[in-house]
Amino acid sequence: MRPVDATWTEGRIAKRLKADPTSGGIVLSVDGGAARPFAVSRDADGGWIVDGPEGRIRAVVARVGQRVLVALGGHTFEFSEAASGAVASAAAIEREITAPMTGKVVDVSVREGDVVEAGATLVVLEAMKMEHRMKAAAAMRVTSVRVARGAAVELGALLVTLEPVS
Amino acid sequence: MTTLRRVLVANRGEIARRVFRACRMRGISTVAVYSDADADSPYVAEADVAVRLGPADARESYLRADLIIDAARRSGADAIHPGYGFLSENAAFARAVMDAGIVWIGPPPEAILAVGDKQRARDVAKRAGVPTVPGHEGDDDDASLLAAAERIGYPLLVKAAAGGGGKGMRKVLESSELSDAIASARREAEAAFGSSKLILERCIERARHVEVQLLGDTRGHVVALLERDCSLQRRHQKVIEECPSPSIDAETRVRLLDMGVRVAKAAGYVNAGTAEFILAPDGALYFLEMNTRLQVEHPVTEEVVGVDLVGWQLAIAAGEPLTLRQEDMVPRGHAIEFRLYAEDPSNGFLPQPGRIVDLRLPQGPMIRVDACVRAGMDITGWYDPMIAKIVVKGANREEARRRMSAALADTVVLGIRTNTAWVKSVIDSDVFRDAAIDTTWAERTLSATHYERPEPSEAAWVALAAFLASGGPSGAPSGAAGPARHPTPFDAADGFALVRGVAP
Repeated sequence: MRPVDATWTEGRIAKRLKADPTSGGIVLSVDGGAARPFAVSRDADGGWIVDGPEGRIRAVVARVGQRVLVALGGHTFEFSEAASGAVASAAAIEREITAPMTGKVVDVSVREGDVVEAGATLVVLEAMKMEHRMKAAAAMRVTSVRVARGAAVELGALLVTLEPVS
Repeated sequence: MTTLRRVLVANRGEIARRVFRACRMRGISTVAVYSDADADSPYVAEADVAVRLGPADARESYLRADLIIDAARRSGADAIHPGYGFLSENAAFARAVMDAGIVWIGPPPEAILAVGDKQRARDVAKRAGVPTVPGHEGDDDDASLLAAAERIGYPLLVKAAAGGGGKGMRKVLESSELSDAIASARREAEAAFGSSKLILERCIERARHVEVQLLGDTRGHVVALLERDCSLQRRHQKVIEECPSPSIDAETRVRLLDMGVRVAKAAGYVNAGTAEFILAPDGALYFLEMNTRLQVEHPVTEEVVGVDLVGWQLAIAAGEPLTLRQEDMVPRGHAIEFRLYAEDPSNGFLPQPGRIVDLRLPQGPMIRVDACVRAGMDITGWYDPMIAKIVVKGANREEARRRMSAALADTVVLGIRTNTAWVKSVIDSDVFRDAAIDTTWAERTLSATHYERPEPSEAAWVALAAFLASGGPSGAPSGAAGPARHPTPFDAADGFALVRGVAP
């Protein structure tokens, strides 16, 4: 066991975790709250058993890249350390339509220069035999189309760029 | 009667493993076929012989009838089981298999033609005196469909005539959406089934989906192995299935099963099949379509009736008589199946290809898992996003529901997002407890855009802190085995020998 003092985030929630090792566990303070003792052990499958004042917590935890995934009670939470979790601004996201999954472009509905209404279909992707429509979030002008019909695209690939209609 | 010695499964993943299991029970050896995307999948290693078909794209592998028949010849298989999806309902494939002198483990091509297409199935049902949903079948050029739609009224469903599983299906609320829906359904139908033919059907609102499991032998004996209720659907894709249906009483059950048997007999049906019905809010039953194959959700029937449906498929294909009796088909307990999908409910249920870093599937009495995954495996974007089927049984529905809730709490898939937490919220809901879910309930109440991942519980923060304090990755489970994984048949010390590689 080693001491921890870091801020972690999950979705919009951020909390500061301060933990100090004890024999067989930790003393933990969350967001500067009262320090509470927890006994930490592992189950036969490598899962985590954490016994604290409110009872027993059983979880499966894994580090994947910069994230730590915590599964318990049928939920999976995805934590990132605060410093590493730079979030792009909403405005920037709206101007770049990227592939939300790896798949194939089955249709491109717009051309450079087109002005589209909110909700207009820009690109139709197919993955796992299901179609997914990428739509404009607002009335926008298409500044570039980066893919063609039939192209295979990776998760995160840039499909279309937009700019607000002035 | 024929003796089956070696069966090739023209499919992949969990259903290939399911058929292999039934084969092993009967002392039949097994052949797997695979695309490049599946070369490392457990089912390939598990088969006695494995034959590569081609690239990952199903159109160049699992949909290539010629390659599959060639694989059967080269591997010495004397029978082919098609599983579900892919070529399972393709009469031309069934015919080609039989013409090659190979036993087809499924209905005869004539029966597939008679009911496999939604349009012909409706004709057969009408002849058998079984009511069908009002709709349009026949000419399917855009103009005919547009004209028919005005007659049927909205909302209506555009469906792939050769379809199933929600592929190539669109719900249309008003006429302005119709052209778009037709174009997109045609594309999806062509990609999924190799046929872009469409039919229209009136959309019966607040309906429940009930289906009859049928088995018929070559002597004309047909038995209905109770019904399943698959009312929890999302985008026409089934998510939870149960047996028996909580929405019908014993009297309706008798009527429903009889309708199923009548359709099967009118079609000259042999082997396993499913007649799908809609139960309207007013209690009316309408025949919808017939699935001329084993269903994804067949395990719930197996658990409640106490039969091995795939075992019966093999026996019937070998010409053995069906010894089940209709009067013995009474529900014993209640079973529920959950389809674990690699998809993200908080982001429009988009598929989630990626690597499974860690995996825990539930275990225990009256819990059955049909799967073909292990930790470290990649879920590719090439095929269906289903990871596993989790089936629980209880003395009654409520006991099964509680067992499912506990099983879902024990289900862990790390690395990709899944529908587990969303389905658990449904299983735990009052509306599911009260069996008040209809086929559009998920869309109305938990629409994709409104499902929000819950904030982490206090316990999750504590677990994170414990993990970090333990050294994070370096504190990971020790030992050469790496992350714990779900046991596979390879883990059993049963002396099962594998012969890998390409058949001679």
